[in-house]
Amino acid sequence: MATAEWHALQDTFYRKHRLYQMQWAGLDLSKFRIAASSFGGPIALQRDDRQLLEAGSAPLLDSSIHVYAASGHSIGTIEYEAGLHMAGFSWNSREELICVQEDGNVRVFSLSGRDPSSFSLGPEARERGIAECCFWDQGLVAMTQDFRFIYVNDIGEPKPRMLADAQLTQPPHCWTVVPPHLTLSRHVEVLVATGATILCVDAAGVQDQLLDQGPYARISVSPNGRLVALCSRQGRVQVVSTDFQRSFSECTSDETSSLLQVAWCGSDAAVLSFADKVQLVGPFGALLTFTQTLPAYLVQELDGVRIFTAEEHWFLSKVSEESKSVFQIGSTAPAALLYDAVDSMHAHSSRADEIVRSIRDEMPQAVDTCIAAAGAEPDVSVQQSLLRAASLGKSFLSVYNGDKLVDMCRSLRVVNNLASYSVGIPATLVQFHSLPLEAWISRMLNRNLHQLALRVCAFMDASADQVYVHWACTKIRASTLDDDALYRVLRERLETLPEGRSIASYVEIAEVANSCGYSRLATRLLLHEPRAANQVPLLISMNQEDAAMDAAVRSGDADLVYFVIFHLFKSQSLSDFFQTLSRTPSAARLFEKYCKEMGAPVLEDYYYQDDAFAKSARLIITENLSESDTSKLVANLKVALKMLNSDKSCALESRAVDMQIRLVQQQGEEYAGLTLNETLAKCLESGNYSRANKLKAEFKIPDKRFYYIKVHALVQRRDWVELARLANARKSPIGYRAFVDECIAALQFQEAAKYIPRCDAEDRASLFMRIGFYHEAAQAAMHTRDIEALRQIHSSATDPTLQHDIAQNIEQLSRS
Amino acid sequence: MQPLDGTVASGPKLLQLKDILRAELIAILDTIRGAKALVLDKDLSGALSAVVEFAVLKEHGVEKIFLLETGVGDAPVQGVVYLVQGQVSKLRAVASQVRALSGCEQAVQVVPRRTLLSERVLEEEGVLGDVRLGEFRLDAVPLAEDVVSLEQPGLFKALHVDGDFSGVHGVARGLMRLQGLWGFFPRLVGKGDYAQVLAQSLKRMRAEATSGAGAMSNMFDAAVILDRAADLSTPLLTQLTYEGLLSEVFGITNGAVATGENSRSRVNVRGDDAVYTAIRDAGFADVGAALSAMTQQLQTTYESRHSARTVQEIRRFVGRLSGLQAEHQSLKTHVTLAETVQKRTQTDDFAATLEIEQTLVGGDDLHTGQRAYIDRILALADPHAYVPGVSSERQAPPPAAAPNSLHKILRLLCLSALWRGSSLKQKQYDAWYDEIIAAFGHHHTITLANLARAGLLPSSTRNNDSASANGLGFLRRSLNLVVADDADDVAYAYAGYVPLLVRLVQILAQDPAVHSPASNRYAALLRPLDRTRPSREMQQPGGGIRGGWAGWEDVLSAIPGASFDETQVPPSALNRSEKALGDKPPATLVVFVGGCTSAEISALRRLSQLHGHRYVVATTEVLNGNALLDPLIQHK
Repeated sequence: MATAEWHALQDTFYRKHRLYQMQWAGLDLSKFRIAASSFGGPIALQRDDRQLLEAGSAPLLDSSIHVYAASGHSIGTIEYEAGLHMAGFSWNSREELICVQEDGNVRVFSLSGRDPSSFSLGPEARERGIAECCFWDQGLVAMTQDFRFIYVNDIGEPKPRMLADAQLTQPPHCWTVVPPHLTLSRHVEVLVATGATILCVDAAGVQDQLLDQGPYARISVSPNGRLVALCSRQGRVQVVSTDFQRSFSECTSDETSSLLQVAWCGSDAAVLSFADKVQLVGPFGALLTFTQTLPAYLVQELDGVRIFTAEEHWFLSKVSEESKSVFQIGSTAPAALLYDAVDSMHAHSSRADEIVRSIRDEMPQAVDTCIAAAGAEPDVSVQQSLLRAASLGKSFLSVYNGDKLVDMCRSLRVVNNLASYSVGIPATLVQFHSLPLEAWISRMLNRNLHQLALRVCAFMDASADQVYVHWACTKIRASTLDDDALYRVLRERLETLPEGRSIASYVEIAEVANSCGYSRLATRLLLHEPRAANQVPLLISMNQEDAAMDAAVRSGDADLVYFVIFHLFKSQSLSDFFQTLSRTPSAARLFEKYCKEMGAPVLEDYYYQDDAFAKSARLIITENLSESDTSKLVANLKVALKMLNSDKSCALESRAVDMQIRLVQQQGEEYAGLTLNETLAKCLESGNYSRANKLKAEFKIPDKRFYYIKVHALVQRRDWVELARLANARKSPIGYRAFVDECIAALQFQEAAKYIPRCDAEDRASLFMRIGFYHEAAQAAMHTRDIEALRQIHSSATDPTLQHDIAQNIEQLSRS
Repeated sequence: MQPLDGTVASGPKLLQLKDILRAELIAILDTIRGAKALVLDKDLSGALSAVVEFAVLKEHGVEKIFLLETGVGDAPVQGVVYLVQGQVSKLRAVASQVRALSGCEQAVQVVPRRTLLSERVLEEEGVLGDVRLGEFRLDAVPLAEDVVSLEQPGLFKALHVDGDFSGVHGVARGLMRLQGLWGFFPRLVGKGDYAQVLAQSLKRMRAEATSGAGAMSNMFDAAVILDRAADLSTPLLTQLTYEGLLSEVFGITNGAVATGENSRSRVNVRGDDAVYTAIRDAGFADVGAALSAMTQQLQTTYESRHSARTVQEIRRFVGRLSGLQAEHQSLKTHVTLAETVQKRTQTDDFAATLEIEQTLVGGDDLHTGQRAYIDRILALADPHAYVPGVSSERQAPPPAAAPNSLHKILRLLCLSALWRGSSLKQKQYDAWYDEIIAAFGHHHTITLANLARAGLLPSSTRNNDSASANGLGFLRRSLNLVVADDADDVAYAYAGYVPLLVRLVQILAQDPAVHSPASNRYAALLRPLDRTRPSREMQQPGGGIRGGWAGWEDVLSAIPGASFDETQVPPSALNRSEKALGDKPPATLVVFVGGCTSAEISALRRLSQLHGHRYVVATTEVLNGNALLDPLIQHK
């Protein structure tokens, strides 16, 4: 009966389903430290070195970590040196084992135990030593032996930091961590039971929750982060909200034996394990007790709790509504009727037909419920009968989308396969759906179940690239063949994937090949890699610099080119490095830019060996822009000039630099830093006309430029005498309009008027008009017989006699 | 000019990018718990204010914002988030501040990408271990409902002078963001070497993201990718739309007009101001009339309060009051701005500059008076002048005449070199070279070398390849770039000149306006027979990318850079897309690699109206000629 495993707790039912008879032989779990991974993951055991043990009393007394599947068969051993005392270890969601040592070092092992990565929790941890640890999926909190807390948010990129000082002087009764995704602040918090109260510690500060019913022996935070279960030493269990403001339930068990562990079953019931029993505390303080003969270890899952002892492995979870409506005794739900109909049908009873008829309109719900119930049932035969019932019901519906049924069958098939003894991943359907398929595939691959993984991929219509890559890597690691033979084996398999595809990336395989010493194989495999960007780092680690540079340039990503450049700069001699650069111009330009921005002196050397004279000269010029020491500046510019002279295409530039050198030598303090024109203008504005003339001669300043600057300067200086002298000395090379414009801009209309008659005849009228000289404007307009101008003057002039004259003139002109 | 209300309804909603960027920024801010200071790169302030309001930052713990230049100083802080671009100099500044603040939690967020280079700089400075290094992908900021900035200022210089193509990768990432939202562009067509590099990057990224699959866009029919280097002349010309002139006279930096006086008196010119949206694209001659019409409209609305009799009517009026007041304020601002602009456009100096531009674009040589004008501004040059669109901090209101800045002079010089081509006499060029050195200093030998390298000035070793020998004259004739009458509407933004890149878009859209009456015979000779010019009356102008480059090979070969036309549609989907041709995607993305001007955007908006099809602009920056040239200038 499906309900045989049900246990009622008020109006809900809990199911305690036996998953496995443990395959390990006679282990005494109490002698071990245990870490079991959620999602039906592996169990790690290490001898607890804090317990004294009788010599020769039990197997597995070495210091290594033994890894078992959930069904209890061994899937690996991680060698661990004796003497490195473990403070705590735990699995993350990628099935990596994170081991925190008492000396503050952390090591992360994959399931295979190969190539552990490691990091340190920082100097504080080293000095003080780590006492205990708490983990969440991607991070951990470690308590030092003087009761400070160090946290790491992301084990992939560890940056250990201290939480605020809770000023504990003696070990807390217990503590636990609230992972960042469950807190309000989105940062990790730690709940510490000390005295009769609980402290909430985060990076910013410590908050005392002001409780008085402690001391608490165990704290556990519910999976959704809303509730906290507090267990006191006296066996009292309280469930409160995470902010400790509201209490939801309380119960006292008469239990006095020591409490081992607390976990959550779903989000509304807490599970307590004692030496001889497991208790479930429901939402309203109701208790459900299961006696055990052996001490049990709890593993909190998304939708329940796994309980394993040395002999058996159970799964405790709430019975779903769907199961309830089908199987609850006396249920008259349509789904229950439908389920009965199947039995009747097999018994060739006409009652089947009656039942189906009685369901009628509710058939779609009945089918859906049966499908959902199948997903929630652990027993394969029950699943089958439920699916058969659904299938029967479906046949009575004219319109029903069968996808749901098909999906359920497919998912269940995978789930049941995973749960088999040989695989030992007892995940429920809910858990299966909460992770992407790739995660499950990689769990199978972690156990080297390539065949199964491949079949699952094909069955679920998913890309099997991941499987092939993992297979190839494993093959290479285990191989004893030579490069060529191995290449043939790999290509034979990888080339002929179903449907003529090829796998998306070869880089990972090539990396493994390289690390296993098959460098030739790695090179050949890398040729098949479609993404240039992926090839670069590996090519570099294989010392194939040229190929790496090519791949980087081909990728179109300047960042990769920089990556190669930096590597080469470090690893090669300067001359080799320069040669590489000269072979790849695009890289050379990036290097140039980087050096310019960093002000790296190596650029000079590069230009020098490259005979890049013009570039060297420009570099000198930019470097000396703020040089204030004249003699140094001149010396440096002379070097630049010499370089420019060696490049025939730089004639204009070398003339400019030559001029600059002479200018700097002439300027002295007074004009330092000014351009040639500014120097000239300043000379003129200060009335130093002879020096200006000298400058003109010395620097061969063209007449026109000299005139423009001089006129401007004289007007600024209001030196009208000199201006007149300039105008009269000879015919102005810039005409006289410039004189007028400058005077007008300086609002010197009288002066402007002097030069207007020397401008072009047709401009005069408008110029006079602009400075308000209407009489003269009218005369000029009359002279050029410009009626349009006269009309304008007529409208702007205010003098009535003038207006009269102009009107006459206009008449006269228009008549003629 | 009316905003494109009719067509905005369909097509991609660019402003939704804003919400995405805001969410990303908030996630970044939340990585540091509690109160924190934000240290901001000045160059990001504009884009950031387009994305998020200060109140939102405050909600997420930002107590104060400091500029990177000044740093946090002695202010007490618990945590710091740095938001900076990835240049070496900026990261070094960050590193020194990180060292000074050691002890508190610090996060360095590189914009738009955490590069190996940035890691290396921080590593060399010895602070990599002390900070949380991340990236803020500020790579597609919507400026208006049809313009998105890809936030790569100075890209033109980086590509064409430094050979640093890292920006292209950034642009590609920005466009990938667009493709992520609206599907992959079915077609990538474009002109210019770096445009092609970008297209290749896009294809590669697509392959990596989806292994060649991925849904095609039903919003965009194509992305037209144009390299600024294909048309250097247009941004050097004076823009004659309202927004263009604001940019020329005041300068628009970070989405605001710098009106002088002090840094606070900045007028926001984003697309959320109804008054501004109505006039930004107008030719300047029409702005006065538009403003006065709006004033009268406003007046009438205000007057309506007298006719309000019932309480409901009064309430309705009062409800609109704040909107009216905002409109009033905005009108006032723009009337003042327009006045100042008008003062500038009436100066002799402005007229002289414009005349020179038109002479050159028209294919003629400068006459004596114009040469004299150039000689004069060279002699009276002001090396310390304010340059609109470049200098962001300025104190004085704009002077009546444009100061004779290096930028102004170089724009005219480069225009001469581009349009005269080989007809520009070496002697004249050498003389100008000397004048610039004398006026602005010897370090501009580097500036001029940069300009030559970027193709803006003839290089010292003159090569007589066809493109430069002909100058742009051939293109002017064959693409009908100079339109005498204003019949060609697109030409209004530059008063009779059609921006070359806009013409390229028109070619792809098979717009008959590309063929001039004058070049008609010539065109008929060159084009294949079946491509004879359809008469304007016969062909209803429809929008979108319909044709390809075929038939225009002669024109394309006269424009520097490669041309390409590639489809991203997988062969299997081709038939399906052909079937679905009936419902054409409502928009085309026009990507400018290296920036475009406001006037070019206005011209494309006009094109959108004419074609009844949206041309959405994605540009690495919105610039004017000064901003194009400035990065190439060696500053002292």
